[in-house]
Amino acid sequence: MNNDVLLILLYITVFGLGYAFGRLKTGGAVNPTVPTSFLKNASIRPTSAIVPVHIDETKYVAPIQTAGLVLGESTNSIGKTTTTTDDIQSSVSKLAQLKGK
Amino acid sequence: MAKGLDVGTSFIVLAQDGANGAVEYKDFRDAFYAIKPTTPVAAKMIEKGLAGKVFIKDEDGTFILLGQDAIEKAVERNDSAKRPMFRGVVSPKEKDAKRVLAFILREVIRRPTSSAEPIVFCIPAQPVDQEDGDFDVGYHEDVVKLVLSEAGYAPRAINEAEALCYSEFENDNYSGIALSFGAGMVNVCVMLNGEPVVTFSTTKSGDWVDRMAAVAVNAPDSVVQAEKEHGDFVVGQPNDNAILGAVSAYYDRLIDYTVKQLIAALHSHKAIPKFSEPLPLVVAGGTSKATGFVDLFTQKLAANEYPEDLWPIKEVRAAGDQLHAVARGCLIAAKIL
Repeated sequence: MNNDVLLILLYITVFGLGYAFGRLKTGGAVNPTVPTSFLKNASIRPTSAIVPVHIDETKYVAPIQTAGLVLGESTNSIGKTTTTTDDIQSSVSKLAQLKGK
Repeated sequence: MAKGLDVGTSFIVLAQDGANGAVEYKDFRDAFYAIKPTTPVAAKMIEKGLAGKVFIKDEDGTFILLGQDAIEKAVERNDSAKRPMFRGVVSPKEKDAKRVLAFILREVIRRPTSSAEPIVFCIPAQPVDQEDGDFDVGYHEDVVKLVLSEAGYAPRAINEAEALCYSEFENDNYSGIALSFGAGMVNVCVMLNGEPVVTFSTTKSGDWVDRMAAVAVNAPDSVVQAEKEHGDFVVGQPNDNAILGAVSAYYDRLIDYTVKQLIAALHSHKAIPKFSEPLPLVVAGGTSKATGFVDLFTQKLAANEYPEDLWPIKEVRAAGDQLHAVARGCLIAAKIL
């Protein structure tokens, strides 16, 4: 019985000494960082180095051959041309101003 | 010198500077119809019959009628003319169509007057109602860009409805809602002070009306199209002519559908801009030229509870020149971009 009490008191004393030593060493500051394995640290790559890379999957446009096509003899040009008196200069100026051009 | 080009499913329109500050437009019907003679004698007879018509000869002896002549020949044979484009874009599967489109484009734009002359052409927005692999706006843009750059131009693409905004909103401080009703698609842009804030497209427009009416009355699409363009009807109103009656009914549904899509797009837009004054709403494109179109569009906005409190509208009007407005906007863009 006495031996058990002595053992418990010894545990408390050792714990107390350890706590006091720890306080003296760190000056009361607490370090919240949980120690981790150096192996884990070695496997972490810096995030700034990860750049997503995409391949261009847009459809390839092959050259369009029109060499074998010729306008019929009676056809000089195609399209109907009309001329308006509409002046677009004011539209151009106003839009250029809005877009800071 | 700069040029604007509207590459549409039904029409190709080039806009360029004319004399004394005027604007010159060159229109070409975007259609072709191939006739392949079986014998040399037949080839001579066909060529004689095509005198005065716009056509090209292929190296294998095929005659390819172009433009309005192609449509008329197809109707004459109770057939349908082909289109180099489908629903607003070049189809990667149609090899011949791409070749014909390239030829037509080169003939319409001709050579530039200066080195690397700027040319702005329009492309559709990604549609909200089409998830087909054949619908590839990027491919369409690359094909047109290739043709134009090979001809010696410095091409640049802009959204079709954005071009319409540039053409129509000068007196509204470049703020408003524009809808371009082409043959294959409807392109929509909401612009605020010269910057697009909402753009989208739908794949139901004039061709959809033709196709649905053709099925309803059991007639070729080209016959319905010809009847629609020359017939007397008011959209949404009954008509004694069976074809025009069907066309009118499908116009009603098309406008209703487009208005619903517009309202859905505006509702789903998160950052609603603050408008200092109500916006004008402009419609353009060949499909919007039908009699009664603007009135029915206005009625459909009210019937579908358009969010007037968030996106106020002061008027619904047709563009000054419904067929040329997009090309005009492209020309304006070409001069400043």
